[in-house]
Amino acid sequence: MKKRFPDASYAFRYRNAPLSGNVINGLGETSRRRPRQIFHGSGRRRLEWQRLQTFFALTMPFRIYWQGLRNYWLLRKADGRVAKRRLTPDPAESATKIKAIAMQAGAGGVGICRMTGEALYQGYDPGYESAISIMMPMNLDEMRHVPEERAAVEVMRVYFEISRVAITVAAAIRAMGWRARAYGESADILHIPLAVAAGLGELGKHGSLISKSFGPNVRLATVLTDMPLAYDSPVDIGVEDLCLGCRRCTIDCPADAIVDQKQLVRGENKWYVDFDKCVPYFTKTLGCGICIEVCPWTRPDRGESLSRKLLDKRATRRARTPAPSL
Amino acid sequence: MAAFEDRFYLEDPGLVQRLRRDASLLLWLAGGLVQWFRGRTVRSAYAQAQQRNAAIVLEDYVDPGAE
Repeated sequence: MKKRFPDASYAFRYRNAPLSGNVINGLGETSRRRPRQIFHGSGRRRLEWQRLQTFFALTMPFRIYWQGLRNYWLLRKADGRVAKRRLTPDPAESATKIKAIAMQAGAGGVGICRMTGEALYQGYDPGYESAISIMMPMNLDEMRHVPEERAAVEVMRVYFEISRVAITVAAAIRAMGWRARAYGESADILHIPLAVAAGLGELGKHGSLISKSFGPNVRLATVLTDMPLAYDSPVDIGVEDLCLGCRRCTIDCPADAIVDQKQLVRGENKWYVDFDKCVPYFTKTLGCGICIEVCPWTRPDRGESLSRKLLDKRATRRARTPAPSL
Repeated sequence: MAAFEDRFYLEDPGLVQRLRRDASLLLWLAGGLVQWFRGRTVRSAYAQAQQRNAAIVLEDYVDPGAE
């Protein structure tokens, strides 16, 4: 049963619809390739869904739009001068130091991984070796108001704060003599694959990162750098077990955009959200966020125990499974 | 098209370069503000369509040049 949310009828339409976002995303494609930007963009190229993106921006309440402009003003500090004297400490020591700087600046979690092509949109390669993935939780009391303006304001506030953290980390690395650039929203990189590779969480059925402590109720930013750093590994916190059995986001999504089975996308079998259904609703509701807030993992202080239960249950299941007869 | 980072991120800026970048970014943001205020036609048509349970055609209201 659907609950409480506005329905998926729209007071806007196309005369000539753009190419399906699912086609652009590579739904059903068997070979691996880099993704292409469709909706949010960095300005590098014309977006296939630019008209809807512009409509989204123009119909935004002014205080949200204003916060977006503030974010852009802040991001001018994303890069800068690299100190001439280069410090080359041990990669593990550097990683610990960088994580401490990020946490002190307000991050909710930090992980480090090797930069991968999978996280870069087509036609863009800034040439960095490592990625520092940063997450920051959103205020649950504000996010309970999805999909209304109050929640959208909280999202933009967190984007501002997390950009500030990423800028602080990048500046600290440059002060140690290494190139580093902070990436906030609307960048040419995909934050989620990097966050997964850096061990901050796993991809959920709703297409968002699920972290152990905060569930999907987080925003992400990334710092790319050449500084030698020790890498973290991807984690298994039981998200797969939860998403296979849970249908909360699938049921509550008014646009029916969340698919219950994994899909083949650019040569990889993974959770996928129907872009053509999700984004019009996202536009109508100032950024939606329903799937994030109804996710069982979003409940306060539940993540750790939920993860433990899921992993224990799996271990018990495996222990009971008889070995194949030879 | 130039990306935001290509236009406004400077790897090794001097004072003059930084001031020039800041001025250019302020102009760019001011352009964004003007665009939002000009969007009142869209907002008004959209609000009316919502009340009438009708739908506006995006191509009639959003600058085709944007595509």
